[in-house]
Amino acid sequence: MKKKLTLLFLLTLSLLSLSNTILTIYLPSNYYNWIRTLPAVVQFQKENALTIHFVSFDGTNKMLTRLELEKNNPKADIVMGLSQMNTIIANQSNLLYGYTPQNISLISNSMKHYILSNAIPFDYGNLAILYDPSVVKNPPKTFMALAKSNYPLIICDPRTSSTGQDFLLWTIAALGPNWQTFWKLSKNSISFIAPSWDSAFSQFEAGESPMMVSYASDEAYSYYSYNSSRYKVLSLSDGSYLEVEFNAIINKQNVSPYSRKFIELMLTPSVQSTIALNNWMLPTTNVALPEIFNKYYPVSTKQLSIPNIELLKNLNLWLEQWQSIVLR
Amino acid sequence: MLKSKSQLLFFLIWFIPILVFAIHFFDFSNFISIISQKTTLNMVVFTLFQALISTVIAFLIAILPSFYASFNKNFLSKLLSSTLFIPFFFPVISATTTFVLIGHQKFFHDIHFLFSLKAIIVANVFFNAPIFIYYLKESFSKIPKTLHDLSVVDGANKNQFICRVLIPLVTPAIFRSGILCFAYCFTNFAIILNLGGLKFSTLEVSIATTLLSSYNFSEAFTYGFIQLIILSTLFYFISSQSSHENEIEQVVSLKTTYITTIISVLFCLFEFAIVALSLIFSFYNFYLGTFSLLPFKELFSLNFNQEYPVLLSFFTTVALSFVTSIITVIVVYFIIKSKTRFTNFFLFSTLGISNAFLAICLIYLNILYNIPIPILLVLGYLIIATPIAYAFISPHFESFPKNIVESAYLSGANRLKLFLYIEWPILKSIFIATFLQIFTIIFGEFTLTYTMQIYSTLPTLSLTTYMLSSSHNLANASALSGISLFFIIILYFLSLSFINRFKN
Repeated sequence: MKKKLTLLFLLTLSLLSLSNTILTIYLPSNYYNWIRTLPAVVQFQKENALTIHFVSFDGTNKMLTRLELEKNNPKADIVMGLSQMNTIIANQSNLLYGYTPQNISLISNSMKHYILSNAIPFDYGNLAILYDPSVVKNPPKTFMALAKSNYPLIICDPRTSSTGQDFLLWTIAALGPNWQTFWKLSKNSISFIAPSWDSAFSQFEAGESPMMVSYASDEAYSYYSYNSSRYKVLSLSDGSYLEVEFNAIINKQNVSPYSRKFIELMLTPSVQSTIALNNWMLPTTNVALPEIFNKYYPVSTKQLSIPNIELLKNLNLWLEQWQSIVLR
Repeated sequence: MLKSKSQLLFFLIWFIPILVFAIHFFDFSNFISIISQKTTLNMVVFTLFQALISTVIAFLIAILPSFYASFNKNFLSKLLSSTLFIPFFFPVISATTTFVLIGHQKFFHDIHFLFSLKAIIVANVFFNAPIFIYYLKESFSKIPKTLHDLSVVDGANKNQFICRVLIPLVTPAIFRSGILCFAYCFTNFAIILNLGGLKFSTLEVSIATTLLSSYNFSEAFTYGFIQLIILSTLFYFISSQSSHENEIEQVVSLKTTYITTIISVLFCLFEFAIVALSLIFSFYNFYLGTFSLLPFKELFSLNFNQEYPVLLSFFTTVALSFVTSIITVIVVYFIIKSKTRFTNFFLFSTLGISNAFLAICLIYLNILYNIPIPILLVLGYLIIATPIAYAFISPHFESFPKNIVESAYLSGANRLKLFLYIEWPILKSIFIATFLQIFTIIFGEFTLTYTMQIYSTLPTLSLTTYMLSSSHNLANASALSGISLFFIIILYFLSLSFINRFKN
């Protein structure tokens, strides 16, 4: 009788464990409500009889901090929304698992060179300067003109915000050795160094400054949400800088097969077609964009980037130099 | 030093997480390299400078109102005394949001108030001047009348009495409150971040930015260590100050001038205007100039809760605050019962532990040993709340009639009986008041939960408010913040009624 009961108990336990497979996904807070309620993701959980535990972080840098802490005891299975620099740091610490999904073939040609052996480009967007046309009547067209224009500008801190970091990299990619001159000239125009994009946008909306570092999709967002162009996006002739967001599987002893399936799912049209109006970024696969993007998303012909090797080699030095110019 | 079990237990609760973190991440050569850098020295100097200047201004502003509050018994003196609610219970996020809104007004915009040292100092003064008022009032109201009479007999006028008798007598209180204010200004994170911006680098801000940017945990540990050493040294001076309080039959009573009254009214206006504006902004859209109660209604709708867990976070916060407050009062009771001459230093030193750093250490325990987040959070809150609860309860215990306890003990009563039949009936109101005050503090706590990034695992009210605000649901965020603030004010005044019941 005892043996039977033990067997029954073990059977129940194993059945319970089968039906309660848990996949833990780390993602930035702007993904949280969107991804967890996405019909494709809800369906994915039902079909595979698994529960996804979404853990949200206020920005990807905090997410990477957790992954670094968990290096020897990983708790997450998947990480979403890593920036280019995040993936470089994560790779340096061997945090990501090498996997090439079958759906990689869906990624558009222009984005293929961003594919890494262990991080898959999920979406992307151009950085831009957002401005209030009622104050800025004659918007500058280049970085140097921006620096000399003396319009108060809100930026994000490159030490804590991926938007801030990408803006610093944008100035480096566009101006080369003259990037420090830009920062020296614009130092006095910087009205607020925000810890995150959200904080910067709150101050911009409150009228603290007529310009802020943001994204090219902001004008489309303004039309979509308010049906007006309260704010406009400024594209600089120096070229534009792409911010790419990556998804990856965490490097751990037992990589769940569902992790691979989930990465595949994120590249399917059912997910990619929701990116534009939820995350206000562009999908990396060839899915149709909402009309509003065709109208109000400025297309840049000159895309700037910095190779990963150079980023890895110089980022800390650049951050130190930025600090010594702007914060001293 | 730690001869009592309760003190040893409390020591282990805060020391173990830090020790575990240090074992894995502390690098001595890195430590030496960081402390010898000029940038570190500059940061320490700026942290000390802003804390010192804020403390001095807060003191100067508080002198006359504290004088008024001590020597008058009317509505204004009661209002002045109740400003103590601000430094301990008024959520920093609510205050900084109000300062930001004020800073966007034309006059303040023109003088570049926001994101400057001016804004940091004004906010620090707003939060800390009431601490001076509390301590100075307590001290002024214990000066014996006989001293005044003797001075008058010796020919001293009012000014000479104030300068040569009164001020020397209240110097220890100025010193104590000054160090407490200094410590709060030294470790403040939200004020620097929201009103100064990251260009103002203090030790606490550097701990957070280092944890979030360079992933150099050893560097963050070094900054945390420097902060702890500086503040522990200061708290050592507090604890070494002995206060001799004698039974006084009659206390001195002085007349206050019109200038004192006007300054006191202005001070009350400054303090309560910020609190009132925080409440008003919960249903008034500052930018559109419209009143609306719709954001309140939305907060409790099912659809809204599916997106933002307002109700869940309310229950979580109440449960966490309830459990931690009970544990804190019990721990503090045992600590007081086995008080040694090092207890003050030992407890107040924990105020020097960076909340952001403590949060990372606690999360690391979860990663290593799978200790559930709610337990870690309760431990974290306990570390934050214990010195404050101790400061609330300790003076009442000191005035406790010890002869009753000794008589009961000699009659054979054990510790449980002593507590149940003597201490509890007399000190019940104080225990409940402390419970409510700690509940209030935990209810509004933000830095610990934010740094632990537990919004999706265990949402608290302050985290949900922050998430609403950062996802541009500003009206709902203001409404939720208003509800929290209202709840906090009610609890605070409820706790005051228990204290008054005890005094009566």
